[in-house]
Amino acid sequence: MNWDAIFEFFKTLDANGGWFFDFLSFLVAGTLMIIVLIYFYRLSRGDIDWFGRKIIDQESIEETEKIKTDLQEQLTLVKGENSQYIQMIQEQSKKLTEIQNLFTELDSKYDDETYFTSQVMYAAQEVACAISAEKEFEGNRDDTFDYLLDYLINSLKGFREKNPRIVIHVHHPNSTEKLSHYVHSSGHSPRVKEYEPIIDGSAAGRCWRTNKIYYIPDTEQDSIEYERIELITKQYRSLLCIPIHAGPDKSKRIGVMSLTGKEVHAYEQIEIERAVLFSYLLYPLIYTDLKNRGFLHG
Amino acid sequence: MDDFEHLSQHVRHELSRLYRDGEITKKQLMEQMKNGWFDHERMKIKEKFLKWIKKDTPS
Repeated sequence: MNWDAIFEFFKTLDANGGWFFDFLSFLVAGTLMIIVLIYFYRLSRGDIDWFGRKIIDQESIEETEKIKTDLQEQLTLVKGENSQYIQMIQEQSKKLTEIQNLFTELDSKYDDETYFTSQVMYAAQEVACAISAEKEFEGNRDDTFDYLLDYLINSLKGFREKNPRIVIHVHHPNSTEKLSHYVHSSGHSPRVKEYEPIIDGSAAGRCWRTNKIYYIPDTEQDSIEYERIELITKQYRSLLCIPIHAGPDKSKRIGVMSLTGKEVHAYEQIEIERAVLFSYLLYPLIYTDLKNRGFLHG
Repeated sequence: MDDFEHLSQHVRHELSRLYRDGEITKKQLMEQMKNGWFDHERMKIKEKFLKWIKKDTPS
């Protein structure tokens, strides 16, 4: 920087009457005056102290702190409520899933019931046809019962696991101590015709004697009335015997329907009830047939 | 009410045979055997429920 030139410049200004320095002094004085006025103005408002330091508003700080605390409390509250709502939504969602599952289960049972009703309808129709066409029925007795018993068997749950088989016994034409084979469902060995349950000492016999349902959930149990025949290759563990009757009067019983199941505890209450319903459906046909053949006793 | 057809004896026996031989499932047997019989009320309720569940479940 060329200081000599700067001094020379000021000398020139001074030599030209000094107007510049006058202007400069007024400018500086004016500026100072404005600064002093602003200072007093701010001092009078309490914004600054005598030394020009900014005064901190204690009340505002306290108020701000209070707002902050309030907001934090509200935040905690909202978080709590939020978690409650989330929990509530989760519970509702769980309930909705449960309702869906319950409906699916209920619908599946309803589906099964309507199917069973259709089977009852067709079985009743077959019974009516068989009674009305006596000669034809005589020639196709086994087939007719095959179809009829199929309606019941196909209504049972878990057909393949349970492997249900049915045999119907009626009063023996020549003995008061035994029952005699009447018909059986498909799947049975032809040897089932040879089996004649004794009235005292077999499951079908007990059912006949008491005229009541006899269900053995496990034929391996000891305390049951059941005829163990060593020669028979047993393919079942459960046995359900249902009297074929027209009420509690023993003189109106005409047979016993025995239903076997491969598994232990194969049949649920509803299945037992369905089998009972079928026994009533079969009654008119068996009764008519036995009567026509002169095999009715009692 | 809709009119449903009765299945003929032959068809019923055939369906039973197919089920016993494992050629059709229990579900198929049930549907075909019923052929609409006794099922209309159930289907109406099912439809109602499915509509309700669809409405109340966010996609």
